[in-house]
Amino acid sequence: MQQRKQRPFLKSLRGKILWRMLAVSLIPIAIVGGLMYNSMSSSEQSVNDSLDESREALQTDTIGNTKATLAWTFSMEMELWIAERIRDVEKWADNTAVIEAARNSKDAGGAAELFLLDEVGTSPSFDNSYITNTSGDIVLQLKSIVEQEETDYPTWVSGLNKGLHVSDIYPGAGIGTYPYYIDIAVKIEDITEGTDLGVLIGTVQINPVNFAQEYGAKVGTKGEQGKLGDRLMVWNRDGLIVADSFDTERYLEKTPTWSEIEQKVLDGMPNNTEIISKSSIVTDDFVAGYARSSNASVTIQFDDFPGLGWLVMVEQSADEALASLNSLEEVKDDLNDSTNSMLYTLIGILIGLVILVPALSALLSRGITSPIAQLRNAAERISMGDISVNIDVESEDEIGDLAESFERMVMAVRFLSQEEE
Amino acid sequence: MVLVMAPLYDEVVDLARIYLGPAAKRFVDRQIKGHLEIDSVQLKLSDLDELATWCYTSSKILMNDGKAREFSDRVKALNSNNS
Repeated sequence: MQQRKQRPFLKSLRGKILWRMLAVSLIPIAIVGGLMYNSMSSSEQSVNDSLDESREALQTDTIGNTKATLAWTFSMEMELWIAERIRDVEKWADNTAVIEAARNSKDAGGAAELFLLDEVGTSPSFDNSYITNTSGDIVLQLKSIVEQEETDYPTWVSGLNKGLHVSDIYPGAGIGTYPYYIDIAVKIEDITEGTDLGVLIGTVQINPVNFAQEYGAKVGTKGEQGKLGDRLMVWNRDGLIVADSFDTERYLEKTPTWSEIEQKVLDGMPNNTEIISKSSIVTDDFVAGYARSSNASVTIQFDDFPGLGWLVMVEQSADEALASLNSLEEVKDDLNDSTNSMLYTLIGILIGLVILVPALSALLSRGITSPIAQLRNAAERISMGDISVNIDVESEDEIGDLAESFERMVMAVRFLSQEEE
Repeated sequence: MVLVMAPLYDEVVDLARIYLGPAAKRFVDRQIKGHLEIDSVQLKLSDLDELATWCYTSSKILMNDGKAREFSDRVKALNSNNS
């Protein structure tokens, strides 16, 4: 028998059927899947951009402003608090017993002392009070006066000259310990005669961190749990640290080393500025809001007192402050997962089809190629002179028609061949 | 040469062509002349039964029995179709 022609599989009928089935099944899925993936990737990118913008806006506008508002509120409370204490001392300076003690340079009968003991004793803010005459001699003191650093103008002098003087904050019995003190000096005068009689000094004790906590601020402290919550930091007008809730040893440091955030805040609001508005700084590491206090921002105002002018900073680590934004990151992650999942599913479907389609095509093409192979074998046998071949193809389709025609041809050849014999 | 119309003969040849293709005419001629011993143009309806029998006998050598029987039956059926 003639050697059957060998051809590459892909050029055979089965190969062509396989190719076409693969093309018909894979191409549409690849195109549709690719378009869907592309569309989803674009959507993902778009949503990611929006989320990043939202996060940035939330960081700056919401969280940064929240810290700035906290700093602003706290600075206002401090100013209001000191203003109320000034008003207390002014009221005391109008007391008859105090005026008489100053006039006589002597608290005859102890009336002034009784009065001041009562006032100071009932106020948690005051620690001491004393009276000087116009020469600076102590007329009366409730407790020993804490020695202050020598200044050009002692408190009583400033009080006598200006009518009202509020000292800088100064430490108590040693650097770095609480409480800190502020002296409020009010001139004692005889209004009817218009003469100066002396100075009444009220000493208030202040701890800004405790103060903030008393006013409900969630001020964190450096403790066993590490740095938690808001860090409160306060500078006075001279740029000295009045309070640092994370580090009590820094109070009134002479040569402090500023951290990055502290330096940024100090640069943003220098000591000599009168800016009292609030601002915020948001970086990858921290979120801080800050404001400088002023007497002008509270309801009780004094002509001779501009306010404490303290620079207040409320700071929190970015990780902690922005923890609430982690849900946005989760949304992004979910979106990325969905897109990746879709890509993997698409790849899985394509791989599945690459495996399944050849198997299916082999199964389906058998019904087409088998009768054709039969006819081909019969034709080969006849071409080699074997006319005894039987065509046994049962099919209603075009291949069946072909088989019938072929069979007819075989019958004719067979008859004519017999006739010749 | 005189061309004589023989519709019945043509019908048989057409029928045989289904089974034998290009050899149909020679096959039918051979059955009529060889076995019925008449001329093709003389074929009558009354000859069809005998012709069908010979068709069966002769085609059985060429094709399987089922096909040969079918061929024969269809030749025989021409009788009733034309009567």
